[in-house]
Amino acid sequence: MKSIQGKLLFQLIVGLFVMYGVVGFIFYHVVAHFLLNQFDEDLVTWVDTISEMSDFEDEETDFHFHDTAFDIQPFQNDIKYYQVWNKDGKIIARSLSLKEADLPLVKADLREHKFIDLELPQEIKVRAVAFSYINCRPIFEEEPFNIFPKENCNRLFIVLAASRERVDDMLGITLIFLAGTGVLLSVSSVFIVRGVVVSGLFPLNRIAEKTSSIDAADLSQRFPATEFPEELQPITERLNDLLERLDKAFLRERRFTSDAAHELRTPIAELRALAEVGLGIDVNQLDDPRPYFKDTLDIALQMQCLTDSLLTLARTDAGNLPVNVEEINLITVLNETWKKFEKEAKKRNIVHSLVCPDNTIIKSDKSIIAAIITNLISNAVSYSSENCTITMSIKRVQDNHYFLLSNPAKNLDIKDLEYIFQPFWRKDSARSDQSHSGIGLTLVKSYCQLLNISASAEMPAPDIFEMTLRIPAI
Amino acid sequence: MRVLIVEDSIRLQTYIGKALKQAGIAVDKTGDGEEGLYLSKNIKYDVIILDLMLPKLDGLSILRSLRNMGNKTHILILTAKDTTEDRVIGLQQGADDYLVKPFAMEELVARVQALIRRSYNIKNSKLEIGDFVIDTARRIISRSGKKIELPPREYSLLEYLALHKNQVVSRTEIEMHIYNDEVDLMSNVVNSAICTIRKKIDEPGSPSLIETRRGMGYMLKVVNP
Repeated sequence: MKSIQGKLLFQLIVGLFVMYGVVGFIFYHVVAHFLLNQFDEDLVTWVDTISEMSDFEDEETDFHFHDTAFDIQPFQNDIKYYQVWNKDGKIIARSLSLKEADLPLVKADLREHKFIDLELPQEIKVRAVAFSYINCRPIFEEEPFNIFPKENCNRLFIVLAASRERVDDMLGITLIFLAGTGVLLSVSSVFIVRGVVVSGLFPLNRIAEKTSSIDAADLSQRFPATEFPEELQPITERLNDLLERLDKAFLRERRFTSDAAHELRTPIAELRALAEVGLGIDVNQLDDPRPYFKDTLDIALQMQCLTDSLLTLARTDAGNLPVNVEEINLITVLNETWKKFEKEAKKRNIVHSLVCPDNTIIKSDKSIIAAIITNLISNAVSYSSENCTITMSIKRVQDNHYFLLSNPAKNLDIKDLEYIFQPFWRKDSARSDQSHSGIGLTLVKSYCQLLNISASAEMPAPDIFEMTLRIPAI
Repeated sequence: MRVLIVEDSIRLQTYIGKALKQAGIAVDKTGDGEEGLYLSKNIKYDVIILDLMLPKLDGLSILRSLRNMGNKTHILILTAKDTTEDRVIGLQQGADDYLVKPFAMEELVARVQALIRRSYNIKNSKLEIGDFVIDTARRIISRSGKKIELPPREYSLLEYLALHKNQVVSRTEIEMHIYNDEVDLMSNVVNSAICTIRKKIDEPGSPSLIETRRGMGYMLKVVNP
């Protein structure tokens, strides 16, 4: 059964039936026990009455109860039966109501009452109590005064019975009542339980409806925490998390597509515009064609750089970039790389500082390490504010070298760190500076993964950007 | 006709500007959004070519701002964003046309010219003034079936007067729409151009189609037969 509703309905109804059955069973037996107890108590009262009221004239010949002994509540209107035996088992008295039948001899101990259910001929159901007592014939005339000499005493076994029709009728009514109530409950519980289950599952239906209304074009919808019952809140929270992640993924995808389109299409548009305008010019009226060629070359170089970066990224991600491991002095690589950017840095009055231990030898691929450092320093020089210091340091901690590069970055926000390694991401949404395409840090990340280096970006203080590389030491 | 190019790529600014000038359209250029918005608000352009990804203020913000102010200048979005969603957003925000980079320069110029005609409520590309016909699509002038050659600037000037037929167009307006910033305040380039046009289009012995209103400007007069 795959339906929650169906399963709940089935389980609840079966549960209700079972519970009702158990309760009904217990109730019936409690009632029966109570009624029989009551009946037995009445029998015992009758027994006590009999014992006090009986006459004993001649143990051999006669034993009879007083008439009033049979006029006892609650058996006044019931058919009563009795039978008496002496200690030898001889029947010394029996009721006429027995007719041809006999009650069984049950030898109860003195002060003991034994209760038994019997069925007499013609399906007459009775409940009987068996008891015994010693009946003595008192002698008052002889001396010494011995009211109950032993030889005048006789043990009698008596069984008294009364029709249990009254009890059986009440039990029957109880059973009918239970059965009737059971049927009514069964029928009504199907509707009630169904209604309760449907109403209970309604929030689930609302979740389903709301989920189906969510479109990939707009993932901003969320499930309000207060709108759903407590039990469903873990589900709504997970759904909201999922939507958040999906929304971010779609946004990332859209942003990437838009950024990639700009980076790839703009130079082509420039080249095309340049060529079409150039073709439309009368050559005889053109003073100097060199600006056109210069622009063509610049665009070509820009596209070459972008293409190279993209291809390298593709190869690195696919694990196809060859890695030649050798011993490298990290300080040498840093200094050589800084020299390439020194001129540009000077123009903007940017200096650098380098703090490092004497030995910074690592084993890795020199060209890839150089490419990583080049990208980091290039970004730092391009995006730092003027008149600042780019701080670089290397420190050894256990089995790793930690390279830190820190520079002021006024326009960067801590929220930007989430995107910094994504392809084509740039802080400048207009992407005006065509010397950077937004692939640099993506490539750095990819290179680092290839060389088992961990790269992370932080903003330890507002407007300060810090890049850390954890490089395994020899 | 005067067009504003708001595009942060200097090269594209340059080459689009050249192409439009070749087509006889005066061009203003800017590379940032804030200046673009300022110019759009303060100068009456026939068309604005608007990039979306601009520094300081993006293209869609400029578009929204202009439309909210009630500015009805025709705007052509020129962008690398090519998804249907981007196009729909641009057009819904109030752009009149959308062109994706890279593009054919010829197409860009044709779209700009179409927007210019639309700004003057002209559906037909041919302006007929008596026996005088200006084919704005092919930029050909003819009178009584005879083709008349005019340099691009003069053609644009005549076209401008034809679009404002029977209205006086001031010299300043002509300078702004045909010559933009290239005209020296003291120069008589407009007078000279009018003179050139008259020589080409007027029939000897007949009154000039272009009437001079002293102190006010010029008017292309349409004489009903």
